[in-house]
Amino acid sequence: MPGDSKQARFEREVLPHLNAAYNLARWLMRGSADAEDAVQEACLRAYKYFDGFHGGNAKAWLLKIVRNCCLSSLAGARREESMSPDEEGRLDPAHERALAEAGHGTGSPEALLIAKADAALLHEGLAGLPAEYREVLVMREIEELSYKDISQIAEIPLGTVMSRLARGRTLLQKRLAARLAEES
Amino acid sequence: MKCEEARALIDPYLDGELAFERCLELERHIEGCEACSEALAARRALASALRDRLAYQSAPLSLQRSVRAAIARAAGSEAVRRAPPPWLRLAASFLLVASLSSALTWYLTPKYAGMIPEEVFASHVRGMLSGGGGIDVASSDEHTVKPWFAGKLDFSPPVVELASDGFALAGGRVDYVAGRTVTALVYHHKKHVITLFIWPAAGSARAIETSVRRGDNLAHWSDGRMSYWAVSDLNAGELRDFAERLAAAAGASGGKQP
Repeated sequence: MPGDSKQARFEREVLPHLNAAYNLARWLMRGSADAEDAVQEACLRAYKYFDGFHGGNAKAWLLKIVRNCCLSSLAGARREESMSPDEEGRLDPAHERALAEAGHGTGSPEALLIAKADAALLHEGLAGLPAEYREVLVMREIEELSYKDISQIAEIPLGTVMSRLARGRTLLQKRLAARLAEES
Repeated sequence: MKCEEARALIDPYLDGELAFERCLELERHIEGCEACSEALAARRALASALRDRLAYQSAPLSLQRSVRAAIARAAGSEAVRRAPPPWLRLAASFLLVASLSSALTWYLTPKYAGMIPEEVFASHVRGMLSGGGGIDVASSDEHTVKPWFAGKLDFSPPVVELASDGFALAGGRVDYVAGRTVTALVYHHKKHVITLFIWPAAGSARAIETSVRRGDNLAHWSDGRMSYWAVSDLNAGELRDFAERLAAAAGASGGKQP
C-alpha cells in the first residue's frame, strides 16, 4: 500500500511474528526476562533495518535478528556454551559419546515410551539439548519453519540443518526414553 | 535401499522436505524393515508429543506493549528528524492564515528578496550537516523522486535526471524557504553536492545569475513559472554549467503547476 507509513507497514508485516520471536528467544535464552530484553532489542533493530527488507518471509527475517540478539546477549553474559555454527554439524566429543551410548536401546519400543512423556519432561528434555540442536528443533517442531528458512535464520547450510535435526531428535528421544524407562 | 540410507531420509520425509520419488522408495523400504519402521514410529511419537504437549510460549502482553511503544518512539524521532522544526511549522501556518498573497508580496519586495540567498544557503548547509545532503527520498530516478513530493507540496516541481551530464540525482526533501514549502533536490557531481531549490514564481523569466556566499556558489534563475536556486561548493563555472543543463532539461520536460 503506497503512502503507508513505515511504522504502519512494520506493525502489519513484522509484529504479527512477535510470539514466534519471543518463543525462539525463550528457548535460546532460557530465561523470560532476558528473552524479553532480546526481543525488544531485536524489534528495534528490525525497525531500523526495515527499509532494507524488500518483502519475502518476514517471520524468518525477524527470527534471524532475534537469534543474533540472543547470541550477542549470551556471548556477553557467558561463554560456557558453544553456539557458533559448526559447518559439519558435528558435536564436541562428550556429546558424540552421549549420542553413541544412548543408541543402545532401552528394550521396549521408544515410540511407546515417548508417547507417555508429559509437558514438563518434554520441556526439560528440549531445554537440556545443546544449543545448536535446540534451536533447529524449536524452529522446526514448534515454529514449523522449512529447512530453507532455518538455514537462513541460523546461517548454516541445508545439509547441516538436516543433520542437526536428525542428531538433535535422536538425542532427545534417547534421553526421554531413558528417563521414562527409569520411572516405570 | 539400505537401512543406513533410509535412516538419513526419515527426518526430511517427516518434515515434508523429501522429493516425491524418494518418499516412495523410503516407504517401500520401511514396509519390509522392522527396525526402520520402529525408528520412524519413534520420530512420529516425538514430533506429536512436542507439538501437542509442549506449551507455546507466547509473548506476554507487557512485552507486546513495550515493543509497540518503542517502535512508536523510534518512528516519532525519525519523523522529528525529517519534519521542519515546530517553530517553522508554526510560522508556516501563520503565514498561510495571514494570506498567501501578502506573504508572497512580502517576499517579493526587494528588501526581503535579499534574504532568499541567505536562506537557501543556510538550508543547503543544514542538509550537509545532517549527512548526505539532507535527503528524505533517496533515489536517482526522477519517477521515484517526483511522485514523492505529491501531497507534500502545493505544486509539482520539475525533477530531471542529469546523470548523462555528470550530475547524478541523489534524492530530495521538502524544505522551508522564502516563507513557503519548497522542493530541495540533491545532485552529486564528482565529490560535490548541489542542492537545488525550486518553488513556483510567476513573472518574467530571469537569466542565470551566479553569486558567492561564504565560499559556496549560488546560481539563480527563473523560467517564468518556477524560481530556481542552486547552492554548491562547486566552482562558479561548473555550477553555471549545471544550471544551464538543468534549465534546458526542465524547460524541455515542462514544470507545471497543478
